[in-house]
Amino acid sequence: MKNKILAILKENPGSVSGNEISDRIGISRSAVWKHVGQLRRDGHQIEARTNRGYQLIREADILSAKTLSDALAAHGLADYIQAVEIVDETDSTNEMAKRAAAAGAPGRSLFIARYQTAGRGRRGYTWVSQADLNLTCSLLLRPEADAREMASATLFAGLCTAQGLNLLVDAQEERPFAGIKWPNDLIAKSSGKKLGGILTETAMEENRVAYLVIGIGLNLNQTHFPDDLAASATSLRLECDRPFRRLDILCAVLRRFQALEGLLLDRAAWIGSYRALLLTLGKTVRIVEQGRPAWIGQAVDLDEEGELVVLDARGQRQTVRSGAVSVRGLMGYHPTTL
Amino acid sequence: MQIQDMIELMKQMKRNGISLVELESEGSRLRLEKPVHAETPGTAQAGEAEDTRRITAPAESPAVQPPVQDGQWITAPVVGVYYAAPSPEDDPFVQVGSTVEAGMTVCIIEAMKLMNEVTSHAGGVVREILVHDGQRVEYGQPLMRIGEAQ
Repeated sequence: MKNKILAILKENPGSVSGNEISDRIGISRSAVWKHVGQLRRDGHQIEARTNRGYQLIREADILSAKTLSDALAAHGLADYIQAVEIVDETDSTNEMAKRAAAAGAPGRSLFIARYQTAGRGRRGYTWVSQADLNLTCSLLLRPEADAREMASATLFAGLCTAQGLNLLVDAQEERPFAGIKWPNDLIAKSSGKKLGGILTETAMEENRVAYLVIGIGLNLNQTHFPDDLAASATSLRLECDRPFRRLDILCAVLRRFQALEGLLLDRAAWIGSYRALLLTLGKTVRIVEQGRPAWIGQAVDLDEEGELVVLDARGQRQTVRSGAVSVRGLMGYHPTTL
Repeated sequence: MQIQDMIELMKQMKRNGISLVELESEGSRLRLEKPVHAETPGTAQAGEAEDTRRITAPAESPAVQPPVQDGQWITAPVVGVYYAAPSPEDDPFVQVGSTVEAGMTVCIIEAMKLMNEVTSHAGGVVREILVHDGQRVEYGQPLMRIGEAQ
């Protein structure tokens, strides 16, 4: 019953009278009032005004199988996403996706958790996320591709996610909002802090791609970070001073994957858009690669595969294929020494 | 042409599977030829150092001959960094003597933050591992040999 009332409120963004609601679903006005109270306890923000009726100010950020499937349908994603697995808690959504992939899950499956106990970043870095405040999800794709064609899948995932964020946030804030730190950290342009990250994994069988898993972690409504992260991490809420719904962000990002997935292997078609969002070029960077002392240089270009080209202290062009790249001015990095 | 440009040229040859480049400019000539068998198992140390040697002595055959041991080689599907374990705290996926099944993950190769899980295409026992954790590997470079179980 309360879901019917919520649906009517959503249909009428202005306001709708208690009489109209009670007529439409055949219950008394006092019953309407009770159900509205229940909706408010669920987290929906509903105003009741004399002579005007009820108005839905803000829908609650509820993540459930029902709200997710409704949101996918409302955003034209019902045909794109082939399967959904949603859980309250998991070790990491990438691990969920990989287990499902090994068991034969179809491409374009979505894995989402309200809480990750062992969220992961690159090479065992942990990803800390509070339950229900942030978005943690993974998308499983099964591109028909040779292993080497996947080289820039990380850049592609960063592009889709940043564009999704910008679609949603810019529409209301009217400014370019998110940029990318090479290869795919998501950065709030105004503060230079990290909004989220992506961990992309593939499995190779005989040099062919068996599957590609794109794990996305975005800080939405978290307002406090541990001391060691406070200088480098931020959230959409901190940047824009308003709360965000996980489903809105998720659908905005998925719509970009839907639009661009067919171009995954056609780097030339999207690398220009990626460059336009890239915050690393022209900056001083510090490179930490395994088996080599840290070094500082100037990020000058992307090569044709999307790898970062850095001028070292002697003016030699070096290509960075792996390792950690810090960028002066982003995420609290202001180097004075190595 | 600077030595750095030559190295870059050789990298591009390797990456794109080009076996011969001849270049003539301002009175100097350069011929870079990559032996066709350079990417077969055995030339495990194929890398920049060896390429540099080939510039100066293009006619010389590679010093390392393909091994004749039995079993199947797992080679690097991409250029990147070889990791023996899922994370620095974890045990390696496999060690010499480990039994593997077809489809099992045996290592990760990272390229541009993309973690590529490499699976074994054969079941058997790991007979030798030619690379170490954190090592840069080239496309097609042999990583480990899977022999038949006893």
